[in-house]
Amino acid sequence: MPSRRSVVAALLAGSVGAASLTEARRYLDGFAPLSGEVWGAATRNGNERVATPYGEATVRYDDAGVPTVQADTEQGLYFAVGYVHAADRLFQMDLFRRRMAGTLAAAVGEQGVETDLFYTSMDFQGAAEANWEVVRDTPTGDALEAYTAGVEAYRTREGLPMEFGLLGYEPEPWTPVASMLIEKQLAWGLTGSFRSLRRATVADGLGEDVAQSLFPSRLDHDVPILRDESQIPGGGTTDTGEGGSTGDDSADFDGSASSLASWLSTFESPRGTGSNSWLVSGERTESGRPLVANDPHLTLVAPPVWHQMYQRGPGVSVDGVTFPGVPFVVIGQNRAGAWGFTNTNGDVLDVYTYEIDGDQYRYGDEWREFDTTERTVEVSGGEDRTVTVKKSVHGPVIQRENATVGVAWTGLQGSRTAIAVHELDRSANREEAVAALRKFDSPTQNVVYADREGDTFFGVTGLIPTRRTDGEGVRGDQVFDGSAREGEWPGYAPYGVPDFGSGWIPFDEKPQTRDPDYLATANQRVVDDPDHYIAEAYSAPFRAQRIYDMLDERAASDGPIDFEYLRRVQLDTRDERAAMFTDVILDARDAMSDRARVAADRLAGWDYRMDRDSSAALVFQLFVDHYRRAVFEETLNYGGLDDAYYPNDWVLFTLDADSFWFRDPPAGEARERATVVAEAMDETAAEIEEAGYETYGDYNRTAIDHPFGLGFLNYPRLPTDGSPGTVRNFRKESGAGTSFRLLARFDGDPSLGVIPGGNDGDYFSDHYHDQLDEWADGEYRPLVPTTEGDVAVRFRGGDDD
Amino acid sequence: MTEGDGSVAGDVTDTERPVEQSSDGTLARLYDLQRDPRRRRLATAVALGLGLLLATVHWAGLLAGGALVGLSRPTLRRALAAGFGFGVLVLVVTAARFALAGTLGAVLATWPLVGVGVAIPLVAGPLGALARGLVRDAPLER
Repeated sequence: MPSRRSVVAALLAGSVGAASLTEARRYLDGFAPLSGEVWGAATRNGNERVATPYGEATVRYDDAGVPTVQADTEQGLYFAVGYVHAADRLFQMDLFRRRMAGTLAAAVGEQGVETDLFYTSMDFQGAAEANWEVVRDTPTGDALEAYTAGVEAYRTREGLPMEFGLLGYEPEPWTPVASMLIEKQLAWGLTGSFRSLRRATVADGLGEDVAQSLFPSRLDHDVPILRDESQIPGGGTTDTGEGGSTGDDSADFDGSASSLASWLSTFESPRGTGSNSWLVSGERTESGRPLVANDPHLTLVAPPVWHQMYQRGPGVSVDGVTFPGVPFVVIGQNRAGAWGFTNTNGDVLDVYTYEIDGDQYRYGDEWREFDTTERTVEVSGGEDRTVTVKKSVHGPVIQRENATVGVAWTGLQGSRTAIAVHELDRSANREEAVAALRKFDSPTQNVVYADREGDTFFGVTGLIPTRRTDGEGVRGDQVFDGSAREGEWPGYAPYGVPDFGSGWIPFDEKPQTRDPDYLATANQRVVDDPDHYIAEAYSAPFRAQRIYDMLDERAASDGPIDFEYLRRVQLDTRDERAAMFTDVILDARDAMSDRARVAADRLAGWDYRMDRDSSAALVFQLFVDHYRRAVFEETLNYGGLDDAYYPNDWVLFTLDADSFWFRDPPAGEARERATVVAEAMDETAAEIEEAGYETYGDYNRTAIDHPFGLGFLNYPRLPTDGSPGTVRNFRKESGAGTSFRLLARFDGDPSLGVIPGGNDGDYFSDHYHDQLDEWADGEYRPLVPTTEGDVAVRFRGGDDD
Repeated sequence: MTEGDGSVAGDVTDTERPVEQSSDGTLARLYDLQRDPRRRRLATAVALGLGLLLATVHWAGLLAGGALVGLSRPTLRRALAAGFGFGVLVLVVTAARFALAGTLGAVLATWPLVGVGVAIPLVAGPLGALARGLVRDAPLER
């Protein structure tokens, strides 16, 4: 029998060995009390004094953890901004960088592989490097160098956020190229659309009629951004395809692309990503000074995509939201003016097919080799993958099963957008702001600007290609035959520096106006008859209709459009979809089951407001999804197409009773529209009964989650108002909505803003989600910098404390 | 129950073996410490303090702390109990640190992570205290 000592020795050696040499060590390193990396953030106090080589600066926080950074020099300012970003959002910054660089799986394991395969194939890293080439030798480059040093000062000297402990890795050094990758992410999220590929897939599989119905090139409404054509500058003399051939001339495209198109769709932004903005001339306001409102609708995540900040330095005094990883305020206000952005939906991505022979593709009369590089996708805890990054003259070549396409995207080039935003932050008047916006190369955005002098501006940013086929301008809403040199982009230089001066629609020839009475943008058509082809399609006009209706109503009343009215518009919950379709639902009651009729009856007399205490709003919102499926699902299944192919709600609700979708659907039996409505309402009633919902607020709850999926990191579920169709925008199903609300004024009282969550990404911080209640309840916080009181961090020459 | 009756089954023969000459001095001092309640309390206090200090540097400090408090116990069974007690103390100190930082509530909400954090010292303390089993129990005083 072994002795006690030998048994104990074996037990100890085995246990300690297992703890040190197996996966258990990761848990011990992370979770052991007193020393675990995960818990460090729960007791950590950052340095109060930080050494900087760039000049003195201070950081003070307000009661929502929003920093005011004040500095004696511009580079000192951006060094401090980098430090503050890292302190609040270092993990998020690293995650964004990894996603765009295709190095996510190295941190998160197998679940990041598919993402990495796509992002590596697109070589956004190469595009970001091209960006840096454009920016490096400019004052913006100097600012980014200082910012990078600030991030590094935090990363190398302070404790890391708990997420790094959970994943068991440490972030690599931050670089200016990493900041450029963040800019690429924002641009990709707003303009990376494979709509034309999906359209071509539908046309190939289900016919051109179905494609035109699901992907109409124009929605029949009368609320473009610029309603008064006389406001629009003329002079567009170049043939850029507007009025030319449409997508039905697409390159031959076989059905093997549906899998590719569906896969690519998973790397686009959630459905319905959009935004609202409007500006009101001082001639219409109570104060005599203009007003600006903006609320960009993006993916709602924990922590939020935006980081709020006040920046004070030589020549700069700017308040608003930054994107963690880039130091400049993107949406906000400075001493002179205020500005906001919404997505134009500009068509800046094209897809090409090729005649391929091995490693070569035909390009006109010659055969060219694909530019091919082998890249390794590192997988934490799994088998590494090898990706062949293949490029043609158009850009990356993406292959999936039997389908191969080339992709051209304006964002694959170097861009001056960082320079534009940097200069916009420092602009002293409208002319300087517009001069800055000329350099905003990517993404395409509707910008509204107003200053305290009363000057206002609306315009469209971003490079928009002037496509040519055989020397003729063509529209971009089609898949091009790349081998036939269709749809060429003059001036385009993927992964290089483009010719900014030619080949693109000139800035002044894009829709724009100065000093309108008032103007609203909600991703709708910019103008009814543009000189140039701008976009393949625009968003449904429900929000635009409502904003213009409210502004028109007030303007017609002769009452001023005051700041309080601005707030009412931004928080408005009337759903124009409901106003358009409720009567159709009520007219179908005779065809309904008893329970469906009871549910439908709740819609009678409803004011169409998507408020949390409304039972009618509950019925309508759930009905939308069931009705959409009832109309389209069978056909999409028949065509082997997934949810990415559903049309927008304008298409859905404008189908009249004689539409082929009811009389002669591509799949399934012919049905009366009333029958389809009745069936959808029956399913709605069943869902409500099963879930136990009583009011809209029981269903319409925030679901803002941290990427880890760990319950405690997710934000609390709060009932809120609004829907995908309302100005107050919340899209529960796609996890998107208002990512920042800005109401800007120049009458001496503070502007207002709020973000959906908190400014600090540290779970243990008091500011992890301290603005969420206000956001969900439609409240705001005054945008007032903290310039006096205790200094939280002081930056000065010498050593850290 | 006497000081020497807590040995685990099968270790009776260990206590009856003569102390080896080479470790006479050290072991004798350890046995004296284990037998003297006042010195044992002092040693335990030092072991707890040192263990806590080491545990703030590295998780291996939890094992070391458990071993130190265990060695001051006269039997392996009592050593294991002391190691467990050390684990509890680590949790109390940790909770106090979080409470002082105002984050205790947030930490307690991190299930399942907090469960792992609680389990580690409660296992590591007794595991470290197993080291007491490498040392023979003090011979019975006659």
